[in-house]
Amino acid sequence: MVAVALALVVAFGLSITLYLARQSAFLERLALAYCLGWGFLTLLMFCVSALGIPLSFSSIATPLVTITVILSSVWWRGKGKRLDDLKFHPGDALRRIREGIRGLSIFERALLALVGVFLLYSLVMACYWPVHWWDAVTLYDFRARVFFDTRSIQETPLRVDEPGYVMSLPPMTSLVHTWIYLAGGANPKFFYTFLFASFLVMSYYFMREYCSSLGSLTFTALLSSTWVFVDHSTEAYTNLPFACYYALATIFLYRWMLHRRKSHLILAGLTLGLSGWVRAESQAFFVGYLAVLAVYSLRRRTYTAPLIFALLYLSIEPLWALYVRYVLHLPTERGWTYVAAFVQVLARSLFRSPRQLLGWAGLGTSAAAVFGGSLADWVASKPCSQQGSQLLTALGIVWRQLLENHSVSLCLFLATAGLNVRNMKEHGYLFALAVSNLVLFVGAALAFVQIEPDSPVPLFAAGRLFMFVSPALLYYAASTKPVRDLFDARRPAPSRRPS
Amino acid sequence: MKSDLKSGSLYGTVLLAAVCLFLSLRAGLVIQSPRLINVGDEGDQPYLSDFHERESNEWSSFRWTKSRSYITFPDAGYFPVTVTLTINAWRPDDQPGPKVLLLANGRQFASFIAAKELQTYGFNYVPPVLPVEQNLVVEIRSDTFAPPSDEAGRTLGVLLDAVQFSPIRRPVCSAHLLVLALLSLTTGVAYLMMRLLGAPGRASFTATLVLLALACSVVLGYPLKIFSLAMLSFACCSVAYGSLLVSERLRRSLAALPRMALLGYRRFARSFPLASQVAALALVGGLCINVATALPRMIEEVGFAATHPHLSYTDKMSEKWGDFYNHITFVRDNTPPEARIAYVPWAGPSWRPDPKRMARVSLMQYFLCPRHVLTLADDSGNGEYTHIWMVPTRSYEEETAEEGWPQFYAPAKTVTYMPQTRQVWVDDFVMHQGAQSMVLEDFEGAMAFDEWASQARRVISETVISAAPAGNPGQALYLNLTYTQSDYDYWGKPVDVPLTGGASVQAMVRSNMEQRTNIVIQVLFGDGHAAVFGSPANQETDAWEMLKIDTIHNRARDFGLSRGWDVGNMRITMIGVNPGHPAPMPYMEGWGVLEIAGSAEGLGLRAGPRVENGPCHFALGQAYEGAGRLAEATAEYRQAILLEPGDARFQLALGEVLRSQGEMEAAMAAYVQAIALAPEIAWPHFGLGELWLHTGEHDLALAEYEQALAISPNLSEARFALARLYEEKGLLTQAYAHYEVLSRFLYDPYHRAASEAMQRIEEQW
Repeated sequence: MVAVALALVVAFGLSITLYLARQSAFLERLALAYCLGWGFLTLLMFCVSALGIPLSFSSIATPLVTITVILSSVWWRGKGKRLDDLKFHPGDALRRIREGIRGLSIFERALLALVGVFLLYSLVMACYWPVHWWDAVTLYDFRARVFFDTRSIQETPLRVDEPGYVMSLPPMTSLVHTWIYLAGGANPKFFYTFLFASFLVMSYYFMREYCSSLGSLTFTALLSSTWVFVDHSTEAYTNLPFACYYALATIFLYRWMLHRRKSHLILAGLTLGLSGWVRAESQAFFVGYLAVLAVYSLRRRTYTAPLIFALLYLSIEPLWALYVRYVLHLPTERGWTYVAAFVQVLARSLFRSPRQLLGWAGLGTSAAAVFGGSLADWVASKPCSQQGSQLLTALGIVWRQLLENHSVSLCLFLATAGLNVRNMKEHGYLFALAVSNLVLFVGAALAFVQIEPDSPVPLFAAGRLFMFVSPALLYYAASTKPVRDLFDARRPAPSRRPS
Repeated sequence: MKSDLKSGSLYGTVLLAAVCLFLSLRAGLVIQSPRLINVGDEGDQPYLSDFHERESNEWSSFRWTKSRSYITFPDAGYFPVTVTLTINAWRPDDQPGPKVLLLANGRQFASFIAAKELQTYGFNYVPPVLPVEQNLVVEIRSDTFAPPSDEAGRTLGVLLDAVQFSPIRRPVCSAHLLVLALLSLTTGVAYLMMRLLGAPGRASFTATLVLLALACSVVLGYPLKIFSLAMLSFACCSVAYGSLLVSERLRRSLAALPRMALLGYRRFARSFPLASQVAALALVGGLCINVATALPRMIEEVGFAATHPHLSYTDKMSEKWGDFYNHITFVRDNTPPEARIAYVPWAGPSWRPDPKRMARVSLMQYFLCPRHVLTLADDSGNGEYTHIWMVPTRSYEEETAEEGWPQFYAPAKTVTYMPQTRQVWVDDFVMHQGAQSMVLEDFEGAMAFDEWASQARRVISETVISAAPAGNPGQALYLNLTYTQSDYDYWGKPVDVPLTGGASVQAMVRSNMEQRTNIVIQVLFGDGHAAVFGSPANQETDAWEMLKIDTIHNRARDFGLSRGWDVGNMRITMIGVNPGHPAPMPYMEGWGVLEIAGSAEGLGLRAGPRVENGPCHFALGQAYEGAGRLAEATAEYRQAILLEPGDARFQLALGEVLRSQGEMEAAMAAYVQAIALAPEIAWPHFGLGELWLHTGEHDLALAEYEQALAISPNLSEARFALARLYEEKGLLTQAYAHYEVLSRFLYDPYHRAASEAMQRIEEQW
């Protein structure tokens, strides 16, 4: 039954990719289908429950199958559509896989095996251990169990003792668990392993756009072997799904900048929206990406792009917060108040002193965008010397955290960016996306230092937050000229440069 | 390559054949019909082990279980079944029904409190995927009791009349075939994958064999050690054989290695610009760092999973959450689904104070759902609670010694705690009448005490006459009992001695827990009524103490008169020891659950024992107090005190109920008595402080509050009262300091009030 449920989700995702990922290879399409399938399934579950229909396997599967059939039929009836367009050849799949693997060099095979080992480990651990992480049992899986018990989202606040807390955060992973429980599954953690695999596949195909096969595989292996990712792929927690959807948004946003295909922009908006459907911190990252996109659009005179991107993001992200506030009448955690803090701190700094604005506001605002008004007050109230010392403290903490968990990604990024300084314009927007992430992360750490200077807990949180940033850094590192030269000398990569 | 492909095709054919075999066998289903075992009938022996002998009465035949008894259903261990048991858990009137645990192949799948009459219980058991067990072995664990009339001295669990199993889903095929088919499929797929990755045929085949052996070891649950030895031998042989083959090539390669490395580097340096060389170094280094970071953790995790392949959900959660999970499951198993459980304001898995961890209530509720977990925060709006989760926890300050929670008074219906083993030695029961002494029992070769009356849930490990431990020569009665609940647990020996004026009884007692043991005597009144009188509990751990019941005659006369009994011809008819004496406050029992006495329902269960005793009157008083019938509660507490004036619980409860009724002087006397009996308890000081405050003696109240806090810094009630008093007296610094402590914990009952008071003081400053 769980296999059927999983197949339905993937089929649903595939039917969406028929429209949005027409040129993709089958494996890439499958990975995207997995990510989109779960994302939109949970949106569907939310809508069904919001309409007052009890959550059950049949009540969800019926519209799911209907939508899948409709989308597939409409696509099939379109002019000149053939099954070959999917690049799916089940008849000789085995032969093609065998040939594909035989076509790989010894290094590529070794890297593929390495990725396989990490994925296998992830799957074994995910299946072996039940959901047990603190936050997973306290919030996400707990909420899923109550959804499953009550067959409803609306009735959940009545069953829990901390409704304000339990309902405050976005529901995607809880709804994923609920779907697996509805299908008779007992341990929903395989979702995270497959999502991790999909994320790796998408990353590989994205880097393959500007890097050779060996280069993309090397960076995919780097991603797959980063312990924080591996660890989170074995646990039922939101960081990995958020990082996946956020990385997809980065991929498609930059792909749009490379190829200017509208489907990529749509996917960028949707996947960023889905990241906001997983965790509540996406607004700040949205603002960062919107800024980069706005600069790009102004320079290339594509003024509607930021609007489309923002509309798609805003069609998903605020749904839960609005529902919780206006239907369940409960307070919501974080939300747009942080972006308001962003504006607030900017305005305060502007009026107080231009030096403050230039010196600290950039960093402070990004942090405020993530963690709210406390930092805004700090920026506005403290003398610059005090800010400077606290900033140094924050940077020290960030550095220690990075050395512990993400030293490889960061060092590679810094090293390759340094080596690539003469060719900075090439893939400059990818660099801008990566740097905007980095600034947000440093700002977030600064905010943590402000909120709880002595507690170790926020530092762990800050360390985990870097998961969201890490893929973009590696994508950029893979795009730099020294790296491309390294791999292109062995096997030329298809050259697709931004127009 | 051709031969490789051929062997690949051959193996593929074998694989397909295995799949076909598996599918064709599906048709020949192993039909598992419902199976009924009439326990006690002829022919039940093959299925049963560790049961008592067959018995029968006029209605049916049956067997009694022991503390652990086993039923085996052949060839039924690998598919879901419903197990139905017909059980009668008869117990004496004063004992509750026993708790019964059912385990299937070592995994618990049901627990229930069995009724004292013949009832049928049905439970579903869904086996885990791995390991595949052929037989289903159902283990019945239950509390036992020793019937007084049983000449053989047996300890009995529950009476089992019949047991039935019926499949929920039919099995696809037999266990062995299922395993064979699964292994064929797995290894076949593994072989094909290796061939796809380009491994040579022989190597793939060998690796597949190794995989098959490992899979066998895991799936069939064989000890890994046997296979690890086999694998080690196999690996050694392979390495030796391989070394012979490649030694020549290896020698040549090693000789050429330095030259090749130099050439390789030169070629690399010529082919790539410096930037790319640095990037290559960074990439290789990064990959190595990542793998080196991940590998030890992966090996550790996989190693654990490989060495513990069959852990149940409970075992896994215990592994991850430690004792916390055991405690939380204990709470779950001892509270009804509709329970509303209050818990310590600063709780967490590590029980460290951490006010920012908002997720704590939800964490408890995850494991306890559908039970509700409540904070006692003043603004939580959670309403009434039915249970309190008792925790031995540290207080506000980490460096403070461990204390318990709750330290406030709450009338209890039952107090259930994590298993607690009590060891008690008793010696030299002597009765004094004036200058005369009479040895009632010296245990020198005499028979041990019999169980006499009990209101407890416990397991008896040992009750023997043994050599007394150091400090007391000769022999003593030794009792070793594990309790999870105890109001009283009397072990006694019949005597028949007239009770005259000035009589007292004493005995030497030693226990491994302080305040958990006292001595008791039963007095028979002239009209046939009887009552048990008790001494104060022992005050020390692991030391011989003399416990004494003074002025028995006067106490018995007073009690008899209060009950309207004939006090003319009183006799001592039983002497004994009570190792099930509860601690003066529930939190002293450690981890556990306190069920609040919330209504007068079920009062009849404990009312009117045949032999009256203090704990029964106290329990009745608690029930009345919970129901709001304070006058009746006061009367019961007074009766309890007449029977056992040395029990601090009774005095404390009397003080509380009198304070609620506004009887200040009487309440004060009761609190003073409670303090004298148990000076280590903070609550009576707080109660006394409240009384002084009510009478306007602020300085005395302040002293009592401070005394309460000195004993227990956790007592929020005393801290808040003290802070309020300081504030009234204008000592704002002291008041602010106490408010600050209270404001640290979001779930503290006084958190909000303390925060507001701090603001108020700050404004004044």
